[in-house]
Amino acid sequence: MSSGLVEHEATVKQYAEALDRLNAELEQRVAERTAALQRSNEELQQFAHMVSHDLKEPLRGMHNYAHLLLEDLGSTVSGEARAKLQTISSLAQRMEGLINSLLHFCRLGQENLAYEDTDVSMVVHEVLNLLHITLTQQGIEVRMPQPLPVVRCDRARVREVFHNLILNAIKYNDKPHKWVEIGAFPAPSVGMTPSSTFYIRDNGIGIRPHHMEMIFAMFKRLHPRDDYGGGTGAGLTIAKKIIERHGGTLWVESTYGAGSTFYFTLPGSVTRYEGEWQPGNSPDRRQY
Amino acid sequence: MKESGSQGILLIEDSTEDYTVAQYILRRVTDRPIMRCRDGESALDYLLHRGTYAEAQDAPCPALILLDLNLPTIDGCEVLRQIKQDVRLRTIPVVVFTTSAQPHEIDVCYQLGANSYMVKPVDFERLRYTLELLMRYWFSVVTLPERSSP
Repeated sequence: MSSGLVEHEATVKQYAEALDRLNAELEQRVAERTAALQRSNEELQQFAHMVSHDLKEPLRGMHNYAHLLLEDLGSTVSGEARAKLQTISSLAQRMEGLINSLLHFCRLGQENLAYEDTDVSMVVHEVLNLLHITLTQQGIEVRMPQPLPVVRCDRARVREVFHNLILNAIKYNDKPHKWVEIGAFPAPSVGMTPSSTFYIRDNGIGIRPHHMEMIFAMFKRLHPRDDYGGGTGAGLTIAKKIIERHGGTLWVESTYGAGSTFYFTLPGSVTRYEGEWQPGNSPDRRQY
Repeated sequence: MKESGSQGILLIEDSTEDYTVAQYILRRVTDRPIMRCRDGESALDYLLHRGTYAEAQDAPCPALILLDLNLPTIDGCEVLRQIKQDVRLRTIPVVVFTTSAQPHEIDVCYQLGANSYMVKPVDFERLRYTLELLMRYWFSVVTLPERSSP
């Protein structure tokens, strides 16, 4: 055997050993990371349990005791004292609202999505039915210029996204004639999967450019607490999280004073658009 | 009109504040005796006539159990499991009355045989409404099995 071949064999052996070592190291590292991930998942679960049980209990006590006091004191308590007691209980309720949102947000990051073929038009109509009273009260015109596609997604979660975005479009509007437009158009494909972009456009108050990012922060509201119908300030954070869990993105374009458009993409359209739709062709316009 | 009956309602509840408020509301809608256990261990002692409740007359069998889940010693799910495994106790309706609305816990409770799962509202008027409705449902709407007094 030539010495060159022996040398060569030795080198191959060396490489093979090095490869084995690296593989073992890699496996070890994966095992460690998996264990760490499992631990942090368990911790998150415990945290959620702790929040939902232990933090809420004293809150409920405060709320209820303020009410007991109101009932016990009856007519002997002055209007001013009554208002203060009522403030205590409504603050406790507000805190509960915040805790519930936080818990919901935590859960969104953890739970698996229940994917199913979802007719997004139907989802939007469900949301509109749910918001019917508000839409009627405020005389809001709802425009749907074209039918929305069928998408493979978590139906309940996507309904929540539409609910939060449409509700915002209604809430943050000071125009005498208010409208909301809901539509979709094909988006660039993600790999082999076709993708859709949905939008919710309004002629509301709009957002100043330097506030654009802030609106997605948890519990962040741009207005005094009770203005524009109040709320905990979690709606957009939750909507963004849901879309990101689907592998999509959510963003906003806005002109201050004139209105905002929220866009989001959902990969995984099952049917794209039935035939060619023309923008504004046979629009579904509903005046509430 | 107040609902009445000789068989009582057992509240398994560790929070004194929650118990006080529940009792306050229940007193106004029912004349039934209201019993309370503060943790899972004593609840099982009560129901199974053990320990301090060895004498059956000290622990009359309740017509309805309101069960909190987050309990010291033995937790609510375990109490529920033991109640539903006991031939004598399993016919007593157990209403889980808890803070958590976590899907996992709701599922586990129904798997174990809970008769209802209710989330405690942080709203006094809603709590009152819920408890009144609960009393009406279990004592006026549905028919419960006859139970001989111990």
